[in-house]
Amino acid sequence: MGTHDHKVKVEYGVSAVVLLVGLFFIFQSFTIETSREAVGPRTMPLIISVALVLSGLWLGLRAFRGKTGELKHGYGFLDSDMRRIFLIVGCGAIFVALFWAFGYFTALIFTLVAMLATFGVRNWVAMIVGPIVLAFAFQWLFMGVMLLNDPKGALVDMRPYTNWITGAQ
Amino acid sequence: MNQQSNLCANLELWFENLGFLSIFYDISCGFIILFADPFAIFFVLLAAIVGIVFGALPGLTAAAAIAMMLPILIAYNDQIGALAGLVFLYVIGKSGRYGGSIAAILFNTPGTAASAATMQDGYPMTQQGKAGKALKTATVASAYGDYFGEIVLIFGAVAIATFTRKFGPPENFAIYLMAFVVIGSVVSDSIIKGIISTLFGAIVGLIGEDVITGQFKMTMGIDELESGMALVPLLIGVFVISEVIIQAEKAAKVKMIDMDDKGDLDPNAHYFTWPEFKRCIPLMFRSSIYGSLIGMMPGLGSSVACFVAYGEEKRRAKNKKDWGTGVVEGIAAPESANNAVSGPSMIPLLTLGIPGSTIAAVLIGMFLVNGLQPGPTIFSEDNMVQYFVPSTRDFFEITSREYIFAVFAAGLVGIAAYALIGYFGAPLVGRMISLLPTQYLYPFIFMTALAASYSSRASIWDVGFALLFGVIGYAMRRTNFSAAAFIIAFVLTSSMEEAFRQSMIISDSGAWVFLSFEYQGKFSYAPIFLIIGALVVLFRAWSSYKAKDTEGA
Repeated sequence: MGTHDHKVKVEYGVSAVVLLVGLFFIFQSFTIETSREAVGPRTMPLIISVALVLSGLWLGLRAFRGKTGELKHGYGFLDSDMRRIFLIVGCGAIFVALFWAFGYFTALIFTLVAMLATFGVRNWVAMIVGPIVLAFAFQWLFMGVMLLNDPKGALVDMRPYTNWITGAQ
Repeated sequence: MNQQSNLCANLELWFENLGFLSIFYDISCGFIILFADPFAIFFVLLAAIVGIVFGALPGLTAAAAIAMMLPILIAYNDQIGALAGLVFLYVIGKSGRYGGSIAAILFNTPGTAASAATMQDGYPMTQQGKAGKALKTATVASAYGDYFGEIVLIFGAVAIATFTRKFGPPENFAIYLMAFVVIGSVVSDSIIKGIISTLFGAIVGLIGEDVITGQFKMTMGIDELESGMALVPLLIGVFVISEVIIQAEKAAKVKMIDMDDKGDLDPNAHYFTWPEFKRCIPLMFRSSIYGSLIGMMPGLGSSVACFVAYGEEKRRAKNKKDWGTGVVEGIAAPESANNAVSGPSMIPLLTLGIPGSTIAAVLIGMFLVNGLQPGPTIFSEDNMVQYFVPSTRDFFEITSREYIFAVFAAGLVGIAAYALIGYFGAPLVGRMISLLPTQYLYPFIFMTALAASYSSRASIWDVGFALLFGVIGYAMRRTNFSAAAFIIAFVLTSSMEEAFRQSMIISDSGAWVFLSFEYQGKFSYAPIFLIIGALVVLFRAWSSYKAKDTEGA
């Protein structure tokens, strides 16, 4: 597939996404209760959502005519490394899941290990010491000094073992 | 602090009859307030260093640094004092723009989009062994442009604010709409994609509690969205996490040229000489004007200014054939232009309440935390603000005008600070960054980004939103959408909606209120702003069509 064909294909995809986002927010706009004002809380979301749908249609029409606009070098996903993208997002998902299940401290340690592995670090000392040091530092800074809420893990409450870092009772 | 207040009062007597020059009183007072707060001075100096380092790190920008530090600074606002956090972020915006030139000159990778034009002559100079000269030229030109822009801000903002203070809801709505279409049409290579970026930011900005009725809108059943989407996770997503994804793809390894390779052959290789400086003064002056004018336009940022200045000065140059091979003029022009954007980009925020840049959008949060409402009333002498000095643990009341002039004073000190640090330390910063192992650096940045997302509202949902917008930000970069337009629109939308609905409530003629030169018996500027917006879009569309036509021919 040529570069131009790829760009047109991407533009079709972009137009479809914009169209769907617009339609989704039109649907969401209709969930807003109207008020007695001439222009109520539903008006602006509806105007913007419809404008998104029209813009998406415009992009699609332009792609249909084989035009892609002024595109920068590196446009599209031909150079993208999907594996790396999924790994980074996966690391983020690990953080969220571990935070929910075991709390902040554990999430920090395991997510940093996963991130270092994603970036190609194979030094086991760095992969063990680095996350532990960072977890201690962040736990102290964010939970101890900034006094953020340190919720207990839904599966295991690790706070009895980490409260001494923050000085919490 | 009482002594400082007395000093301010004495100064007022000196300046009270000087009319327009009374701004000198304001700025003197600003310096007095700033220097009375050791924490603020410390944070100005710290911001100069942090901004340079973040700006010099390829891919990371001042906006990314600010996004990660905003929740921490807000949390510590009571401990560090009212001024310190705000001036810290304000100065990072300046030093971060300058820091980008270090990466552009040494690594042939612009640290920020604003330094892309600097690469064209900066890197060839490094290859010729004149990296020291290139870095010093960039430092002097950046400081020159930044001072120029700051002076434009100080005098321009006050003058414009006295005019815009009289605006009512229809004018405010027209200005917001103008800002939307101007930002949407100029911020991206593609007009339609710029506008879509703006619309997308606007619709996300409307999620949450309604500004007038208080009912929840488009929350999709998620309780955490009832107070709306937080700015920090959005910023972290589109600027930091998307960058980490790109760096993971590249597994970036920056390579630094040995600056001492060939420099010894030329005794002036490491210095920006006096004759070179004199030669560059008119060029830096003109470039600073371009930068300041571009900075005042919402949405047009440093990346546009640097290329406009580079192109225009190359066109005027007698040695235009040498441009691109390593001439100091090729560094001085874009660097003075991109830093001259910094001050004037605050003018829309301070005079209209519209953030003209991403950094200005983020600063709104810090202004509000300190009881300052961005907009023309910020220069009022009637708005009193609680001011806390941590060193003495005392609270004072100062006017918002005095407060904002203390921020301007911090800007002037911050420029001097980053210029001195950059002039003597830029090669060291470059060397340090080239030695930083990226495989450790970006995971650390990713973890800090996740932690900062959580800390904005102590909600795990915000971490999820940051990840989601990280992927969206990555896709936006890959498909020519503008993250800056998205963020600015997100910040602006609720105020725009409020102005729109207030206008409709007070209007007897429905939407005609926006097209009429009169409402409630007074002159309305609303149609003028709408016409300006329409003209900008038409001009942009025409120049885009013309460019395609020329390519076709």
